[in-house]
Amino acid sequence: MGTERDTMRTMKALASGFRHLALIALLPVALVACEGQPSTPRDASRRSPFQVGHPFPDLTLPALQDGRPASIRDYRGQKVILHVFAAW
Amino acid sequence: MPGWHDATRRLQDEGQFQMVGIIQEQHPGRARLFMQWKGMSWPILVDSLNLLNTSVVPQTLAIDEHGIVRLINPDKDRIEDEFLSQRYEATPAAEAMPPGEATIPRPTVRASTGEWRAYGHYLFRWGPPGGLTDVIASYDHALALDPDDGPTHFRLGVAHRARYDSDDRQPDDFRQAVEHWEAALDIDPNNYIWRRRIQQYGPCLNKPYPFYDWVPTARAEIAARGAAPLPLGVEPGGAEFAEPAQTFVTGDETRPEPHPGNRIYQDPAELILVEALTVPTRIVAGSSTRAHLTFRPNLQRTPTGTTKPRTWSSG
Repeated sequence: MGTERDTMRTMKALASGFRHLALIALLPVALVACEGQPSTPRDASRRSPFQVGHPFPDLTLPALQDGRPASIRDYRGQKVILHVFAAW
Repeated sequence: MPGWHDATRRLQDEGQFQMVGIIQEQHPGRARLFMQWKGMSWPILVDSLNLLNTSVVPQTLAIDEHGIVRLINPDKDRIEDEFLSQRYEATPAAEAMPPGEATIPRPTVRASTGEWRAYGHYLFRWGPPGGLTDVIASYDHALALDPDDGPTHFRLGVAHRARYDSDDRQPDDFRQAVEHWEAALDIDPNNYIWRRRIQQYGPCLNKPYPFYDWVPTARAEIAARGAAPLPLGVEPGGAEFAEPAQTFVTGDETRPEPHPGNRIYQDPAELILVEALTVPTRIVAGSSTRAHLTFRPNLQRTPTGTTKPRTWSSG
């Protein structure tokens, strides 16, 4: 995972500099001017694991409200509108 | 999603369908606050490990009474005509679906990659409190057999970060989480969820993404309604907020000796532990990174040199 040497070198540099937090601003990397990233994937429609006409994956997950096991299977007999999302 | 909720409220109230959500979040409590803010109380399932193996969010599915996916990303304004009014027959595929998940025993020494993965998935969701170490060990076993398994790298990162946020955290959990997420993204650079996971903890972006800029507004509006905002186990920060934008000036000036005349307090007994991590972990000259510094009391050692059990508290 990365190189141990690089990580240790980085950690030592930070550990020796952090006594004065202002020193972080002088680290030899730019803390501004970041790389741009797209906000949504351009090929989103092609990367869904779901297929029309096929069963929704049978997966049991903890319910957010109480942590108990829950599944889309629990709603057999009803039509379901399912949102797969993140709060960000 | 709130758009769906508002547009189909009548249909929901009439019982024409059930709205359900599955969240892809490292910190599910944030979704809990979001639902409270928007007044949405329908069931949400937590898929922190991304066991659905979806690489993009959001997605909306219309699933019929037999569990069959009928529409993907349908138009909410046409959902009545295109889905709710339709009659669907059971299919052999639906009838053949296996029963729900059973208890998974601990794999043996000769277990396969799949068995170790399945055990890790099972423990993460249903294991006892304090069981994240076993989850991590299971995924480590799986990766030892298949080092190029991107999803397992991602899930190992999720488990490390979850342990970092728990009372059982180890000092390098956050670093391990980021390194495994980076390994996952190296294997599949097009996975949007994996990319956003690293960006949450990384440096700001040229086009900052408002991961959780809604949190202060949500809390204010909930409080204005006379209710108490649900607590977040882990507060968002850093790159998780797009605003206010922050800039830092860097320069080439050399600093004078930061330790003049030994007047700077030292910590020879290492009573304070410092954890330092950069995200991303590999720094390229001219690029940006975010430094995470965490200061914690180190209760393992005392000034007299005695040893006491170390107690970790969540950050």
